[in-house]
Amino acid sequence: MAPLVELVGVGKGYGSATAVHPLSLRIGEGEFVSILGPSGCGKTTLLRMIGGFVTPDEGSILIDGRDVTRKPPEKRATNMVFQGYGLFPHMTVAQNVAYGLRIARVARTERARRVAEALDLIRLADLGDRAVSALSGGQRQRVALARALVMRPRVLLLDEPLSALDLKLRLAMQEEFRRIHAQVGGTFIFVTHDQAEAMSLASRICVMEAGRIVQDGTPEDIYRRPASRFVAGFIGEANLFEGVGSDERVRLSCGTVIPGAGAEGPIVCVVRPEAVTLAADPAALPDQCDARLFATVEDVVFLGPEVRTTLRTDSGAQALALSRTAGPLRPGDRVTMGWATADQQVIAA
Amino acid sequence: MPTLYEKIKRAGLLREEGGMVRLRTFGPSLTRRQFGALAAGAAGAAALGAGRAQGGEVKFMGWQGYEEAFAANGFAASKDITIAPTYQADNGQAMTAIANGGVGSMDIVTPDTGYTRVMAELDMLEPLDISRIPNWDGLDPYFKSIDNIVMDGKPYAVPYAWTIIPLMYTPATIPEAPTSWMDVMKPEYKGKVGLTNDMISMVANFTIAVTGKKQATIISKAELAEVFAFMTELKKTQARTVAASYGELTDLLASGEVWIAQGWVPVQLWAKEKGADVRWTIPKEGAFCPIDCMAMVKGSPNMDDTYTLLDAAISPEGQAHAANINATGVTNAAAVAMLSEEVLEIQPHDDIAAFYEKATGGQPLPLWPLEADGDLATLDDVLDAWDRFMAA
Amino acid sequence: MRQALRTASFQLLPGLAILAGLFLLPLSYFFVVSFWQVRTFRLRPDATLEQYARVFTEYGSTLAWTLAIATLIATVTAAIAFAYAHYCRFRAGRFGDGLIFLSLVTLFGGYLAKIYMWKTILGGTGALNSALMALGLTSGPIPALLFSPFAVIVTLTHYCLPLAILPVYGALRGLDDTAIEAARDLGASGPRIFRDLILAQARGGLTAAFALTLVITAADYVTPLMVGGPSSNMIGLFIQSQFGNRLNSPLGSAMAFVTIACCGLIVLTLSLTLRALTRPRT
Repeated sequence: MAPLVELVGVGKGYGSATAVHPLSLRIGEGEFVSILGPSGCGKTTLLRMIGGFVTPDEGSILIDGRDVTRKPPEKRATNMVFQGYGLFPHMTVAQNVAYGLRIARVARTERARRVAEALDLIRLADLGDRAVSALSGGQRQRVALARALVMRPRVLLLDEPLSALDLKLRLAMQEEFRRIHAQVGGTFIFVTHDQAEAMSLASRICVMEAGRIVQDGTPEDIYRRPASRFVAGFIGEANLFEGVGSDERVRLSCGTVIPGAGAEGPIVCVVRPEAVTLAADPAALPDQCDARLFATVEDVVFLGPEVRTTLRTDSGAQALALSRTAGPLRPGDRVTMGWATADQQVIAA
Repeated sequence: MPTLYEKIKRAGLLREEGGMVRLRTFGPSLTRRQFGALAAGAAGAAALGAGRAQGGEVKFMGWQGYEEAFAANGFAASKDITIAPTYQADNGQAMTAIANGGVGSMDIVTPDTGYTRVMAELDMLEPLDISRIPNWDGLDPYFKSIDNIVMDGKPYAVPYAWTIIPLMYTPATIPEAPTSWMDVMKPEYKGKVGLTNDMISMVANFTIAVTGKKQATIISKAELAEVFAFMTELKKTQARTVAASYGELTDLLASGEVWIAQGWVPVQLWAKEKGADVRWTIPKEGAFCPIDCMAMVKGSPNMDDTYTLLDAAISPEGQAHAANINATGVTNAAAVAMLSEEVLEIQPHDDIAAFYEKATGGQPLPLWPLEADGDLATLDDVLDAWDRFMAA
Repeated sequence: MRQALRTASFQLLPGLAILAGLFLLPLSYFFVVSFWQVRTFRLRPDATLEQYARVFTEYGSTLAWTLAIATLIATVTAAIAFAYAHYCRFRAGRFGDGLIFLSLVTLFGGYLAKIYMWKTILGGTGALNSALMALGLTSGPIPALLFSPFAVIVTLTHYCLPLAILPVYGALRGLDDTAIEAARDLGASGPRIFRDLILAQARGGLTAAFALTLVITAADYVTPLMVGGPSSNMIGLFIQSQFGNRLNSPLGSAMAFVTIACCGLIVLTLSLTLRALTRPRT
C-alpha cells in the first residue's frame, strides 16, 4: 500500500546552518506518528515542510501520491494545530471553527452541522458563541484542534500543541487526543519534545537529533532497543555503562565482565533502572540476573508505587534502580546491582 | 502669554538688523500684515487677557512694532514708564477688547483713521488735549487736518504712520510701469497676477479701480457687488494665487510666479534683498494709503504717562526710529531727514498733501459704515462678500 | 467595596479634571456661544439657530468642498499609511520599528517647514518641474502643480502621514503571526486573509488614522492659503476669520460644530462600512 505521506530526501538549511539533513520518511494512513526530539533538532521545520509553511531546499514531499513540495499550505490536504494556537481573537469559538469551511464554501447547513459536530467532539458544544479571549488555555487548545479537525484533513499536523498547558491539563489532553484519534481516525503527525507525551500518544515515534531521524519505531522498540546513546538517554531513564565488547562479552570500565552480545570495540551498555535488582548479598539475587555490578547506595527515595535508589558504581558512574519495595538499604551500603542480559542493550559507542 | 512673534524671536528664527525685522527661514520680513493672516489665533488669545489692569503699566494694544516709537533712545525707560504690549491681528480686536472691559484699564490703541472715527463715535476714545502733546505742532500740515482724526474740532488720535498699498510689477517681465489697475486683466498676464489676503487693501484698491471713486468705502451695495464680481473674475481667470502674506507675495514676485500684484511698498525692499527687481506704482485711478494712529482709550488709568507716550510717538526721533524699523512713512516733518534711504525710496515724503491728493483724492479712506445707512454697503456686507470671494 | 470605589474615583480625579479643563469646558463654552449673537462688538446671550442657518446658507458650498477634499486626503493618507505600516509589520522584518521611527522623525520639521518644502518642490522653478523638463517630459513648467488643490492634497497628506501611520502600525503590531498562518492553513488566500484577519483587526487603527487626518485636514486653513492657489480655501479659513477678524464667535462656533459633526458622520460611516465588510461569520 502506498504511504499517505512520503518524504524523499527532504532537506532544509537556514544560511549556513542545516535545520534538516536530507531524510526520507513514509507515513501510512491512520498512523499516529510522533516526531520527538530536543528543541532545535529540526522537528518543527520538518513538520512545517509537510504543512507547506517551509519550502525544502531539496527532495520532494508527496501526499497521497501527489507531489506537493511547492504547494502552499492553503493548497494542501493537511491542517495544523499550532503551538501558540493562532486562534482568531476577533471571532467567537464557532466562527473560528467555521472559518475553514467558509473558505471552502461549504453550504451553510452543512457548515453548521460540522461545526456543531466538531464542538461536540472537543466537548465545547455550549461555548460556540463565546469570545476566544474568554476561554481557558485548555479550551483554546481544543478550539484550535476543532478548527483543524472540522476540515477533515487527510493529515493532521500538531506542533507541540500541549506545551503551553500545565501538567495536569496536559495529561488530560493527551487522553483527549487518544480518544479523538480513535474516534475520527485519520493520520496524526505530532511534534513534541516530551518523550512521555510521545510514548503515551503515538503508535510510532521518530526520534530526531541535530536534523536527522536517529530512530524510527514503536514506543516499545525505542524504549527497549534504543539505537544510540542519545536515544537511550532521551527516552526515559537509563543506566549507561561504558565498556568494550568482544566475543559476546562486555568488559565494563570498572573491570567487571558481563555477558553481552551486539558490538565489538567501545560500547555503551544500556540498562533500564526498573530492570535492576539490588541485594546486599549477591547470593540473594535471582538467577536470571546474570549480569552483576558492585555499587554503593547514595540515596533512597520512596515515591509510593516505587522506590528510587541512586547508586555509584565502583568505576564512579552514576546508576539508578527502581524497585517495588525499599528493602533495608541505607545510603552508604554496599550492594550488588543485578539484571538479566536479555534486558540490556549493547550499543556501539 | 508670549505672542507668536516672541516665540519665533526666541527660537532664533528672527533677527533685527539694519532697521528691518527679518524672518530668517521663511519669508524676508515679519510685519503686521503677514501676521494678520497667521497669528490671529495667538493675538486673539492675547486680546482676552487685555482687560487686566496693573498700576503703573501702560497697556498698549496695537500693531506689532508700533511700540518701537517709545523705545527710541530709551525714551520710555528714561521716563520710568513700563509698557505692556498686546498685539492685534485686526483693528476689530482692539474694539472688542475695549467693549469688553477695556474702558478704565487699557491705555493706548492703534486704529487707522477709519477706525479712529468709529471708535470715537462709540465713545471708546478720549478726546486729546493738544497742549499736552507738544510734538503735534511738528506734524506735517497734511496730518493735522484729517477729518477722521479731528472731529468737532477735537483730535481723538495722533497720526502716527502712513503707508502705500500700490500696484506692483516686475520690470523683467513688464518693462513699462502699468498705468491702470485694470492692467491685471490683460490676457498676457493670465496666471501671473498676485492677489493678497489683505481684505481692506484689496477691496479698497479694486473699488477705486472699478467704480472710479477715490472715497472707496462710501459706495452702494450694487457697486460693492460689481467690485466683487470683478475681483472674483480676476481671481478665477487671471490670478496665480491669493498670497497669505506680503512676505509670500515677495517670494512670488521674486521667483517669477507672479508678475503683477496688489502689493505693499516694503515688498520692493524685501525683493531687493533677494536680488529681485520689483517696483511699485500708483495707477491713474489712485491707491489705498492708510494712516495708522495712536489713541487714548476712554478712562485710561495712566493718563499722564499715556500723554507722554503719545507725544513721543510723534516726536521726530520716535517717528524716525519706528519708521526705519517698520518701513512706514512718518507724520512728523522733522523726522524725514532721519529716514533711511530705503524707506525714502518706497515712501516719498516731498509733498505728502499732493501725494494723497493723487492717490486718494485728499483724505484717507473712512471705514465702511458699521450700521446700514440707506443703500450704502456696510462693513459686514464687505466682510460677507470677502468670505464669498475667498471661497469662490 | 464603597471604600474601593471612593479610592478609584480619587485616582481618576486628576485625569477627569484635565479632560474637563482642557476639552469639555472650552468646547461647552463655544457650544453655548454658538446659539448667541454679536451686536456692536459685544456678545449677546440668545437661543437662536440663526448662526447654524448661516453656516448652511452662506458657507454650505465651502463646507462641502472642505469635507470632500478632507475626505479625499484622509482616504489617500490612511491608504498610504496602511501600506507603509503593513510593509513595516510584515515585510521589513527587524527594520520595521526603525522605519516607523524614521517616519515619525519627519514630524520634527514642523508644519510650516513642510508647506515651504512643498512650495519649493512644486513651484515653477522647483525640483519637480525642473526634473520633468530635464527628462523632456514637459516643455515648460506645469503651473497646476503648485497653487492648486493638488498641492493642498500633497502637502496635507505628507504632513498627516506619520500621524496616520502610528495607529495603523500599533494595530498591525498586535496581530498574531500564527493566526495568519492558521488562516492560510485553513485555505484562505492572501486577499481573504487581508480582509478577514488583517483589516478586521486593524479596523480601529485604520479608522483612527482616517479620523485623525480628516479632523486635522478639515480644520486646516494655512495650507490652502499657502499652496492652494486662488480657489482651494477651506472652511477653517472662514472659522478663523470669524474668531480672529470678524470677532463673531457665535458664527465661528456654529461653523466649527457643524464641521465637527460632519466629520463625525463621515468617520462613523467609514467605521460602519469597515465593520460590515470585515464582520466575522459562522
